[in-house]
Amino acid sequence: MDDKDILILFREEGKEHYAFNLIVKKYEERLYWHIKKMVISHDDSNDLLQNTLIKAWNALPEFREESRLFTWLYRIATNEVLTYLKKKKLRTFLSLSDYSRQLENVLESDVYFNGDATQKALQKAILRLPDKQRIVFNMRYFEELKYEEISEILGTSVGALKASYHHAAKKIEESIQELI
Amino acid sequence: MKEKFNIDQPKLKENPFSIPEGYFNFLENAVQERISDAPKAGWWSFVKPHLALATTFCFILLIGYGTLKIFTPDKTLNVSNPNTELLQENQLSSSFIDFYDEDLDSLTQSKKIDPDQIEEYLNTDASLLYLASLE
Repeated sequence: MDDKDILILFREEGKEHYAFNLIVKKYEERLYWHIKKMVISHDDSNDLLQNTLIKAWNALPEFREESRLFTWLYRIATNEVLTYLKKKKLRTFLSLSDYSRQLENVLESDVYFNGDATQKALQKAILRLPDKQRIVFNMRYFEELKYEEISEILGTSVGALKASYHHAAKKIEESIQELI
Repeated sequence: MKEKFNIDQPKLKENPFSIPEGYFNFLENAVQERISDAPKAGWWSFVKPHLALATTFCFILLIGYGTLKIFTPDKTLNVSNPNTELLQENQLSSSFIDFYDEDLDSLTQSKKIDPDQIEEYLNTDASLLYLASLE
């Protein structure tokens, strides 16, 4: 079903829950992987995804369709993740390198990681990037979003995103050389 | 020299993670349960945070105003003037104006001339020519 039709259905009396469930089914997987790649842990990903969807439910009556539904949901999820990571770092006074090491440990013990050594090295190298650069890299590299879409989600210019991505790719290639 | 690693390999872009079986079914039920329990957001949930912010702002302004009122000295009392100090001690209950005697002030006193004196002067030897020369 088209996003426009789902939103029309949502605004009908008594159909909100049904319409919202359609939105959840349509976008849950993409949102889950978007969050998971940032926080690694499945439990944390589940919590953040549920929070994202609850916030979307609460804000949907005021959604003005100035952006696409998918972009809007991604923006909520991204903010949830970045806020969570910031709080976690502040709470434990972790520096970037300590924090990346902590995420690497989670990755090492993750029962849901099924990749080979090179894929693991890639994931570890990505974890060494600053959070915002990491999110840009993931959206471009794994999710293959266009720079214009990423710009809409993050509110950053296309030029800055391109620079950030190429910088990230270079750092990752250098890190993998050390890890392999 | 090590060959530069290229991250643009198709295998690297594959998702290396899996998810617990039935997770997304669980997620949909969990979300539906949470939104069914919570009351649906209406106009009040939109207004509430703005009202809270406005109330907090007013409260802070009130505290600031109260503090300024308590600790700002009264500007009507000019402590540096010695007369004011004496006034405060009730030792000087009047000012210069109260000591001014109109009868003793020669500068402002108006002199009145007696009409008989004028007539006597005119009856003296003063000639018309002399009187005319007076301006």
